[in-house]
Amino acid sequence: MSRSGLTPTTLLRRFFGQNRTVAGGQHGVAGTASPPLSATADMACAAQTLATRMPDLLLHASQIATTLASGRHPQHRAGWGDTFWQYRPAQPGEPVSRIDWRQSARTARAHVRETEAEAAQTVLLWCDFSGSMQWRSTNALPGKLDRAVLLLLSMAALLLRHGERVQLLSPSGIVPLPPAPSALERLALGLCGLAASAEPTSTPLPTPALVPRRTRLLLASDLLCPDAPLHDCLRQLAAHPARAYVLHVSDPAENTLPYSGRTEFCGLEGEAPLELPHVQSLRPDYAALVTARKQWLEQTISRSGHVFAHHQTDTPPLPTLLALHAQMSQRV
Amino acid sequence: MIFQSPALLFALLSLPLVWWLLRATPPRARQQVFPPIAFLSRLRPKETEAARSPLWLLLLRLMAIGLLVIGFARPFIPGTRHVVQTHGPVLLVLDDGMLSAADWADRLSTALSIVDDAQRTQSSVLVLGTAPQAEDATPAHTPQPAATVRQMLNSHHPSPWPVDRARMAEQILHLPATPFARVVYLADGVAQSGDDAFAQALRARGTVQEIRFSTQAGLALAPTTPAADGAMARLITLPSPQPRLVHVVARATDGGTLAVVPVPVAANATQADVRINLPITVRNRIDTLAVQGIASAATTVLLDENTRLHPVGLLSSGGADTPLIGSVFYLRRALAPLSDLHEGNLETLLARPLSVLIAPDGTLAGAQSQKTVLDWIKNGGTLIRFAGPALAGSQHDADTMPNAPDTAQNLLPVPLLDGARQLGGSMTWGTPQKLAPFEQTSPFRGLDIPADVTISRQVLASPSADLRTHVWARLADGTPLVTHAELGKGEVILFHVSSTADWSNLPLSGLFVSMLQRLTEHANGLSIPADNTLLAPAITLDGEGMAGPPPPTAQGIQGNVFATTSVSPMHPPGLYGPADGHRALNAATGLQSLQPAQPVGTITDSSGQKPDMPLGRYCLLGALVLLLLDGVAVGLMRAGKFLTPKAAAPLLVLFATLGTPPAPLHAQDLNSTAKVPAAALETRLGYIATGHEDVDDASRAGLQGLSDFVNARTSAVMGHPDAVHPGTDDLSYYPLLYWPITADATTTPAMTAALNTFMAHGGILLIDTQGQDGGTSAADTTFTADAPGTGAALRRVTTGLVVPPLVVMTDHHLLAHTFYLLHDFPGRYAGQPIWVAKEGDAENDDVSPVIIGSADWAHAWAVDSAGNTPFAVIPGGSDQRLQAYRFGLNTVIYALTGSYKADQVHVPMLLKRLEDKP
Repeated sequence: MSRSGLTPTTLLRRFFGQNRTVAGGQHGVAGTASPPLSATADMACAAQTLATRMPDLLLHASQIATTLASGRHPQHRAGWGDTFWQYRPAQPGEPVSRIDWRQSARTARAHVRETEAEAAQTVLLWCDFSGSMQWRSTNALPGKLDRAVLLLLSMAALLLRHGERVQLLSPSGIVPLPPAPSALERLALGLCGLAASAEPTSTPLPTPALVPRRTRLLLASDLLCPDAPLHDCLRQLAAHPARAYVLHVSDPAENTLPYSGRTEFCGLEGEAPLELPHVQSLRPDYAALVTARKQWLEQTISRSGHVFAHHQTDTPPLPTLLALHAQMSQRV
Repeated sequence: MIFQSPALLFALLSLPLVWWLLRATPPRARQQVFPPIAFLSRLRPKETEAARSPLWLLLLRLMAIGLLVIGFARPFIPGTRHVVQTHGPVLLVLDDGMLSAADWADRLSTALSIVDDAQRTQSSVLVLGTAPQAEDATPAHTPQPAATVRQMLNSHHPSPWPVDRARMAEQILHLPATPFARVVYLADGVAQSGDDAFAQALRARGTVQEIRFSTQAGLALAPTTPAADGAMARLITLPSPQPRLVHVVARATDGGTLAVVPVPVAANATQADVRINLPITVRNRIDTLAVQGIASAATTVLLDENTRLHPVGLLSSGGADTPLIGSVFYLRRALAPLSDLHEGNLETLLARPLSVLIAPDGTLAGAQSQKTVLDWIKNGGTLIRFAGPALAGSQHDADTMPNAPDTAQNLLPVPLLDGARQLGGSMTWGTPQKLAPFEQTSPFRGLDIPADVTISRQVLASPSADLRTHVWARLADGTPLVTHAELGKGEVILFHVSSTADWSNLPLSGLFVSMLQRLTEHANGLSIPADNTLLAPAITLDGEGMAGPPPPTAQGIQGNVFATTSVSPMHPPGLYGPADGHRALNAATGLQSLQPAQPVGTITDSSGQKPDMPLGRYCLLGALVLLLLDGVAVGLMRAGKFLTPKAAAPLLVLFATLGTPPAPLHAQDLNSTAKVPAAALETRLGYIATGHEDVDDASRAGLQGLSDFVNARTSAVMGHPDAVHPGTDDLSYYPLLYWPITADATTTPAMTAALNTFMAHGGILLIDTQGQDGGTSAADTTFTADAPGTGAALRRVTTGLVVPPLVVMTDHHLLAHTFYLLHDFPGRYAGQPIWVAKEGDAENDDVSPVIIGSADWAHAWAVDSAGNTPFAVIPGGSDQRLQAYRFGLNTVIYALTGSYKADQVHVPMLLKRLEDKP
């Protein structure tokens, strides 16, 4: 409201309180003034739903990773990451299981097959669990958080197959992953845990100090944060040094503003509600704003040596993954 | 406009506040969660005026609130009555005679509102009813408090006798000389002899306000003597500038409606005949005639035995019918209007119930026929014989035989002398004799004897000691003309003249008709009492025409003055006399015509006394509608459908005009989107609409009754019947179609094609002519209604139909045992033949696609909304109706199961075969 003061509107609103319902939104996330308790409960609820969808996401992620691995990037090597190095005679006291019997049978001595020692690079995953991620414009689309988790897990599956180490970064540092049969599932469980403990006002960006040096950071977020912290974060990461692959996830409605009439907008992270008249007339301005912001993001991110990838939730995840994978394998 | 709680109107002062609030509070914006809200805050909206409510919305809401406030203040528009300011006693004179019953409710409510006025001004009221009351010993001639008067009025009922304004004038003259502040007269608008005196007396008491009622029908129904053209009553009415149509209902003793007769009353006519063209059998069952829709003693006619027509048999031989000289020619003309006349030879006549048998000269020849007639007389029959050349020429041996055996043997009441006596003529000295006045013991007593009736020839009775007791009529010289003798339970009556005009001119006179009528009544145990026997009231009518036990004040009437008695408090209309010979005293018997009365005072209609019209509910309703409109408009605005006042205004106007009937539009939409015929969802019977409202109503009621019967007795579940129009409606949903044939029934090729398709696909057509066509009627063994033209209509409508060869249905037909085992198949009329397709036809699985009958099943099945059976079955009895229902049930099962039940016929044989096997 631009006209504040003693208008009856404000009086009435103050009198009746701010108990407005949220129209739209994915999980009925409460608006600005809802108490933290219910916010936490909502987040827990969101985490719960995320967890229930996690097997589906996992399966989808591994399918996408398989498609990528076998279709786009034939590696022309037999094993996954462990290349043959040499045969050496077995030393006394070595476990019998390490003896390569096939080679040993050709000679009189027992041989041990040694593989090339590989220094796997660590990739850290960062997912933005802030309130704005838990939204979708229509029920036909996946939520931004869903899509971000799917992309992260797909990428993780791909990386794991390439023999990289994938770890999960949280606002409080690297997360110890819970035990699970496979590394991908451990990651998924870790994401669930993070989602459960996240708050709607949690920061969308990682703390650069917590990022280990010379790691790569895969960062999925809608980047709906003020420009200055983002800029600072990216600069510090670059100086750390660590390379960030920024995956910008956005809903199509966020780019087009498909609303009309007089509408009261409320955010998901405690922003003050905003009432706009005749919204459809604002669309061109809004589109210009969004484009400018995207350009700024691209410029800022690439200027500090990071990689920027954009994903819109109404497009399939594969092209984005391909581009990201090409970027990552290029820079390994 | 007056407000009942005007203090609430102060709430209207809050309207400016509401204006300010509403003006500043726009309709709530649509809410939308949108994460990148930070971007939006950077946008500069170009136009912000929508933050205010549009003016039309404001006005709408203000109007709604204003209407609410006004509605709760309970406004009302007072009636246009003369607001009574004067305090003082009110004289209320009320016509409460038999002609007031038609609008009694209005009359009473008007009277009560006058009493209310009086109570408002704390005045006392004196109510005077112009109809005399039986126990009017001490009429309250002092004004009473309003509350007492109201109680009195509430228990007041119209009287079943006419008003007596002359008596009322007397009463008014003798009232105490207290001045009345207001004089109101609730008139019935019918003139009477004492009107002038009454008007003078009433005007002397003050300015008279006379209230007449718009619903005043001014109708009365008076009985008439039955006539051949079916006129049974006379409708007497006030002349009216417009022609009217009055319906008269004929009811049987058990209350069942036998007929509803429309009686057109021409403009300015004062009376009209009520003609009821029903067969004699049905007509004799009519007990009450009443004008439909009016509960009044004046419009109710009770019928007694005098108005019944009795079956009379007329023995005729060859040549008897010759005009002017045939032996039955005059008899037939005399009897036909007054009785149910049958002609034929002895066998056909005695095969049916008769009360009187008339034998002209020369018809009772032969010992065998005399024996037959003798047995019939001894069982209670009455034989009327006429003399003639044959009787005069036969040998009578009067002096040898005793009297009684002679009567039995010759069927003559008195022994006769041989030959005939010639009175007057070219060769005689004597002149033709006139009739002597009838004696008091004779059934002909009281009949006027025309001076020109002369007897020129007669047969003579043999003089005997007891001849005098046998004579009912004699000539001026004392010789008997009509003699009688009792024989067993019956009687033999002899006219000593012939039934033609050659012996006397008696058959040419009206006296002949009256004598035959008296004799016919006498034969039925009815004889007009000669003496002053007191006929006690048995059943009387109240003012609303309801029959009930006689009030204690009702007194008996002497038999010899019954005909001249008119209704009065002592003799309320009703039935008088012993149970076997009721005489009806009707309210309108003496009424010749109705004439409009001269107004006594200033005429106002009853609307001047109508209650106030409350407006509060309409205000509240309007407010509700406006608020709903507001809601719709706001909802549309929030949805962004119309945004500017310019665009909204026409929409709003559209809403305002279409807002009232949104439901039919909605229903229409529903119908157009998904129209599933109801008959497709449940099994229904159908009837073919004829276009005659009464026939279609009867068909619908009949099929409804049959459906209910089927639902109650079987596991079949039938819905409500449908009227169908073959050719336009889809007939494939109906297993059975009932088709009443009316005389003007026609078909189109489309109809015929649709019905053919219907029958070809297994549908069954039940065709009913609802009575026999007169031309095709068989021997009158059983009675049916006359349905002229239906035979031709049946032929006409079935020309294009593919009807298989037909046979008369017997009780061996499958239709007779699909559910019940039936042996006869009556409808409203019993014993009618039914035609079905010949069995053995392999087509259509041996199921007859068409059932043709004339028993009028629909009327027998019909059940009205109250669960009664409004149409009597003939010859009657609940058993016949049950049989009709059973036939209908069998037909429905036949239509539903086809030849399935035919297998059951073979069950006994199959069982027998099984037994035969070891």
